[in-house]
Amino acid sequence: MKKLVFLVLTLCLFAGTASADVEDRANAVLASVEGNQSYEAHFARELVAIAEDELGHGEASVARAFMDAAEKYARQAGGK
Amino acid sequence: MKRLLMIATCASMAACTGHLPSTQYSELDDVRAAIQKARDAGAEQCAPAELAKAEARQLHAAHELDEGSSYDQDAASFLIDDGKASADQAYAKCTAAKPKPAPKPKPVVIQPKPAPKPMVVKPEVIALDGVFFESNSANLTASSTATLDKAVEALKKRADVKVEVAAHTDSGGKASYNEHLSGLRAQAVRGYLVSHGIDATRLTAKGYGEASPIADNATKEGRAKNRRVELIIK
Repeated sequence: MKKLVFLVLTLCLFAGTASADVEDRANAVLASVEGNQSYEAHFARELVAIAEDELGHGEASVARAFMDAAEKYARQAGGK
Repeated sequence: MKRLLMIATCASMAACTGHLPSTQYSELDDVRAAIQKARDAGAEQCAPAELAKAEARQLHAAHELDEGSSYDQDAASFLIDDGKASADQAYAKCTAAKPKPAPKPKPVVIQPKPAPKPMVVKPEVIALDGVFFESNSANLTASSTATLDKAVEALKKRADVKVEVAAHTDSGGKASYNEHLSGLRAQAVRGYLVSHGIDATRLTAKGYGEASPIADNATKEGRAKNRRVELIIK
């Protein structure tokens, strides 16, 4: 039973960590493309918005996928 | 039970490594075409925000279609419409921003310049007023020398010109005689000029007779004017 509780707690903790992780990454992406008006920068911002939306719906994995893409485009945008 | 929980945990962890959805749904055909149209119009440069929004809506819609529930279908429809609107907006922005090609300049028709009219240079004619001859003769009167001496001085100053001595008569008498007489008079004047230092090669003499009157031969005054000697500068 202890092990079961541990596993559930682990899952909850993992979910919470995922949420914080996505939010941190979102902030990092948005900061890196701030003021950048290129297509890649705009697309990165849009992907971040989707990621946050999906995160709000509890879709952590989907949020991560969109965040991965957002980071990729933010890198292509070349930062500020 | 433990094993079941471990499997569930692993499944949850695995689910966390998500991937972007495929956009190859037929429901996305319209927005996909609109995006391509905007891209072809150069939207990545001229409307990056609108194009990015359209692409993101397409991707998000694809995810909702992946989910498959009716709620997700509605969300997908909204995202598709919004994405298409953004793509259309991007296209419109780009096509409006593109400057219209400048109208082709009208061909310049170069009219050939009209051929210049042949220049008619009137020869310079110097009337030797005061040069007279004895009647029906080519002998110069004494009073004529003053005028001829002035002519000599003028010709010496203009050593580069050649001169025709032209003599004319009035219409009295036969034309052939008048032509002969005028020829003799022209020769007489030429002889005077040569004898006073003008190079003979510069001078020619010609009698025109009564052919070139400058006044009315019906009057005495007119006939007097027509009897004349001129220097024609060549």
